Amino acid sequence: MNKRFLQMQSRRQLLAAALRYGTLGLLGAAGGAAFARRRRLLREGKCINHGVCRGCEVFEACGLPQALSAKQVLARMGNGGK
Amino acid sequence: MIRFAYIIIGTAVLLLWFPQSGGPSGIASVPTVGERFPPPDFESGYELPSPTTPAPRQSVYEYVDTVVLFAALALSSYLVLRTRSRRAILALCVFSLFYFGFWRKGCVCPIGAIQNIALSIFDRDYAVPIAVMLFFLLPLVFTLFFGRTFCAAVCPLGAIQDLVVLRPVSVPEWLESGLRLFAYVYLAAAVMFAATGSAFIICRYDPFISFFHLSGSLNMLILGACFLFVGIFIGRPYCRFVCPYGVILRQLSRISKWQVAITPDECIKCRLCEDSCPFGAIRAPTADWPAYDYNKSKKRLAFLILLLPVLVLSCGWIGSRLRPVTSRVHATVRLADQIYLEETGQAEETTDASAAFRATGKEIKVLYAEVEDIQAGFGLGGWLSGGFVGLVIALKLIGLSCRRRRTDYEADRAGCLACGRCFEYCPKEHAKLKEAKQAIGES
Repeated sequence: MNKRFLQMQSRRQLLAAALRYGTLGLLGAAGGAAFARRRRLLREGKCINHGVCRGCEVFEACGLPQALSAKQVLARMGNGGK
Repeated sequence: MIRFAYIIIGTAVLLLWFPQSGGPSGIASVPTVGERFPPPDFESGYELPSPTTPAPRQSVYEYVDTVVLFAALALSSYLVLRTRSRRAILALCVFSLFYFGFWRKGCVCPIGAIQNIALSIFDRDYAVPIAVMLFFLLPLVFTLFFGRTFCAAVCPLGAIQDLVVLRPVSVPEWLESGLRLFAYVYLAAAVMFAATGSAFIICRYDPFISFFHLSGSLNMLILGACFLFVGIFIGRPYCRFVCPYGVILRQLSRISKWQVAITPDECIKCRLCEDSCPFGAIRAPTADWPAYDYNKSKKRLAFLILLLPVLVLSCGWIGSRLRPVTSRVHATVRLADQIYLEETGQAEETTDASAAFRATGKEIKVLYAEVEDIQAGFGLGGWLSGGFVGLVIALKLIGLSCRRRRTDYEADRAGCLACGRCFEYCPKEHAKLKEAKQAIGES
């Protein structure tokens, strides 16, 4: 095992560490950006669920036509379907 | 350890049993969101077709799934790197198959999440659900630190294939490298189709999803059965040659902080582990390179570096030229084609889509203009995805000209699926276990 080989290993490890933490930062930034976009779309009053109200987190507060229609159905069901 | 395996399998069975029996409490007894919005009664007698994808789950259960994913990844990493127990890894594999596969019906999965991420990058008005984002990110973060522990025992697609590896045969290196290219092409195509809003092909052509749903088209069932049959002889064919998420994990695993080691101690080069890996992921120590071979390789490397931009550009050009074919996956393009055929008298019958379009009263010119925009998107997508494939081919060729020096038998950082099969082949491992048992006995 010569000295040069060990140095090469060390350089490679340094490069790998730099790439690893760089990638980690990139993934964190991507996650943050996706979260921020979600909040922006909600703030702008856009449907983030593509009109599918099932399981939507903001369904109760949503005033979009599809949500209002779904709420009407739910209210009718609450009155025994009348 | 056997007790631990029983606990894992028992938990999986309970989780599977509760939803069907309407269990006493907990996850399964809570109504699903599907029950909140029953379908309307159609007076015309129309019957809703049975869905091919699972009903969306309430948000809280998506977070439960995310927590389970995190726990499974943490446990898998611990078992692979610390406990080094193949049995425990196998038990976790079975749990993941039942939980993420049969109970959650394979959806959401990190593999399919690639498409949501691609769509969110190219569509400003699309927001990725948080659970999907976490499903995509968590395995990547774990891979950066612990290697492919997600593939080892958490991925349900990997688990179902791992259980059928019965008579593994080794695949020659040249064939393995060639077949692996398909996964890169598949990734490029999946990203392009998702980014253009055309289709989520990874989900559509998932060979095992029919098993998890216990329903599906005959073609997909046959495809899944073929993968499982081939998997008896060639370990995990989908993971190695098709999985687009595996492509990303391979690259991240190269720079992972910790990695699977065949031996817990210094390698004694006994060669017992040499043929233990059914995935061909064990690399032998390298011999010194003869001088003439070294010089020849240097020249070849220089040539390949010069070839890189040529390959990238030519593959990108081919990708863009495929635009008329690839864009037909988009529903609007297919509609425009049908309308064109009807307008020119080449099609005698209308389709549901064309009749619905005409009923809207929208101008055909507007439709054609839309199609031009979509095709322009496919042109750019073709350049990017083709260029990516060209880059991969060039880098693969360059990789063949670069040799890494190895002094021991090592698990290939990129290709190792961390299944732990090689552990029990190492005599050093046996000696260590024996010592540990003796120490426990004495205490």
